[in-house]
Amino acid sequence: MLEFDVHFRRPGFCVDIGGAFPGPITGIFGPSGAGKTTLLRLLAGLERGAGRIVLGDTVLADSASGACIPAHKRRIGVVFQENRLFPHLNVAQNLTYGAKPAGGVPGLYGAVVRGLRLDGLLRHRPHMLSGGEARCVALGRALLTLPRLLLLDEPFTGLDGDRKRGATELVRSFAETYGTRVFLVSHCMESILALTDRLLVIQGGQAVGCDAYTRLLDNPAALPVLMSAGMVNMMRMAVQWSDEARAVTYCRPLSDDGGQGAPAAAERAQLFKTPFIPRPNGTQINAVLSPRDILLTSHPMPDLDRGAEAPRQNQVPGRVVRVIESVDRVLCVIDAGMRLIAEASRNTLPPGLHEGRVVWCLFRTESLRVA
Amino acid sequence: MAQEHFGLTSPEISALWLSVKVGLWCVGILLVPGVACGWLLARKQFPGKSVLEAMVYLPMVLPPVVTGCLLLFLLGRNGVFGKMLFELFGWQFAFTWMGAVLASIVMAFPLMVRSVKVAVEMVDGNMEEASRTLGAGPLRCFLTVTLPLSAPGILAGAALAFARSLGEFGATITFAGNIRGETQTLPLAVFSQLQVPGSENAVLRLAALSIAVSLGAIALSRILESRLKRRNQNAQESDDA
Repeated sequence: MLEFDVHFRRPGFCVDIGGAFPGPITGIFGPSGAGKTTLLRLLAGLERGAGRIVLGDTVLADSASGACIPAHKRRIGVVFQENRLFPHLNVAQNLTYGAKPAGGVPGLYGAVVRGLRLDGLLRHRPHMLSGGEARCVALGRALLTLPRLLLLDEPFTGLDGDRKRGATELVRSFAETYGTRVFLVSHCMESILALTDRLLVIQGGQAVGCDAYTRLLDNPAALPVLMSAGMVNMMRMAVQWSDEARAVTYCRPLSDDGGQGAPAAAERAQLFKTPFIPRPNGTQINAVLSPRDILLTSHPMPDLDRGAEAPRQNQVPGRVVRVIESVDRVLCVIDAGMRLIAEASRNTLPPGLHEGRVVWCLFRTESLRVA
Repeated sequence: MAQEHFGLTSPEISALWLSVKVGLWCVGILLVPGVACGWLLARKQFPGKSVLEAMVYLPMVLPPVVTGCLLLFLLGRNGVFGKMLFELFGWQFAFTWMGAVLASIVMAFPLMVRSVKVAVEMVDGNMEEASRTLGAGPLRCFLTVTLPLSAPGILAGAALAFARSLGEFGATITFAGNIRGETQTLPLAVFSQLQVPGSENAVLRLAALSIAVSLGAIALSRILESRLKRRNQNAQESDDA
C-alpha cells in the first residue's frame, strides 16, 4: 500500500495531492503542467515538500516529525522523461549501475536485457542509441534495482511496437512477481490502459479523481480532463479462440473489477472479434477502441450474427447512461456490460437519444487495437 | 664554465628539473583540495560562500610579492605557524624547495578551483539525481558520476596549475629565495642570468625552455577541454534523441 498526502509550493505553482493506492499499478493522467512530474519527484525524494509519504510499513517522509529518508535509501526506481543515461558508461554498465552486486535475483539481468531487446547493444555508449533504445536502457536500469516503487514518467515514448509490448510486459511482470508498485505518468491513455485501468487524474496540482477508468466517466471533475486528452475505450477481454485463416481472434469481455464475465455481455455469451492476436486461449488482453469508431444504431443489424461467416464487425447492445453535449459533437456513455464511450456528430445519432434508452454499438474488428 | 648537456648548462638543467619537480608536487598536493573546493563552490549553498570564494581567488588579484610576504609572516622560520611547525616537527618551508612548492600551491590554487568549479557546473545535475535514485549515496555518486564527467576539466585545471607553477616568480623569490640548485626555478634562473652582463644566450635558452614547457601544458589543457566538450555534446545528443 502506498499512501501519501503531499504539499509543495513554488511561486505560481502548487501541488496538493493525497490518496491511498492499494493496487499494484496506478496511472497518473493530466494535462501538461498539472503537477504529475512534481508528484513523482516528491515521492522519489528529489523534492522536499510538506506532508507524509508511507510505502508499506516504511514512513518515507513526514514533515510533522521531520522524518525524511534520502532518495538513495528509498528503493524507489525512477524513469525520467529525459533518459539520463550516464554518457561515460556503456549500456551494460548503465544497466548494472544500481543493480545489487550480490543477493540479486539470478537470471534477472538476462530477462530484462531480452525483454527490452538490448542484447546487441550492451557495449554501445548512450550517444550511439536511438531514442527508443535509450528509453529501454533507462527502464531496464531502474528495474534492475528491484525497486519497491517504480515511478515511470512517459516511459514508452519513442518505443516501436515490439519494444513497447516487451517493456509493458516486463513492467507488469515486475509488479506481479516482485511486488513492485508502479506509478505511471503518460499523456497517452492507451499506454496507461495497457498496464492498468486505475487512474489518478490531476489538474492544477490537485487530484480531481482516483478510480477505475470507466468509473471516472461518472466523475464530473475528471471527465473534462479525460475528454481534453482524447478519450479511448479500454476493453478488458480474454482470448477465447483464434481463426488464423480469417485473421480474427474471438475474445470474451471481462468486468472492470476482477476478471469475471461482465454481467450483460457474459449473459449473452457475447464474443468480440479483434484482429488476429497470436496469444494462447485464456490470455487477458486490453483492447482499445476510439469513441469515434463506434456507430450507434436504434436496432441490431441482423447480418452481423452469422457466427464465423459474419462480416468483420461487432455489435453490442447497451443502455445510454449519460449524454454529454458539446458545440458540435455528442458524447454518449453507454452501459454495455462494460462502460463504452461513443462520440458522434449530431446528425449521425439515432433520433430521440436520451438517458435510459437502449442502443446498439457497432464497430469494426480492425477498430479494436490490442494495447 | 658549467658542463653542458643537450646545449644546456648544469644550473639550467637543475633549474628545469626543479621547475618540473615543483610543478608536479604542486599539482599532486593541489588535486584533492582543489577538486573538493571547486565541487563545494559549484554544488553547495552555504553561509559565507562568497567570503570563501573571495579568499580562494585572492591570490589571483594580489601582487605575488605580497602573497610571498604573507607566506613568510605565516610560515617563515619565525612566522606565526612556521615557528610552531619547526619546533614540533622540524618542518621548515621558507628558503627550501618545499617553500617553492608551497608558494606555487597558493598561486595555482585559484586556477585549479576555477577549472574544477566550471567542470563540475557543466556536469548535468540530472545525472547525479539519476544516480541517487539508483541507490548511490553522495560519495558513490561523486566518484562514479560527477568525477568521471568532470575529469577532463579537472585535468585541464591541473595542467593550468602546472603551467602557473612553472611561471611562478614573485611569491617564490619572496618566500623560498633564489638559491641555485635548491629553490632556483626557471623564472628565477632567467632573472639571475639577466643580472649577468653578456648572458643573453643563456637567457634566451631558458626563455625558450619556459615557453616549450608552458606550451606543452597549455596544449594538454586544450586537448582535454575539447574532449570535455565532445563528451558533453554526446550526452546532450543522447538525451535529445
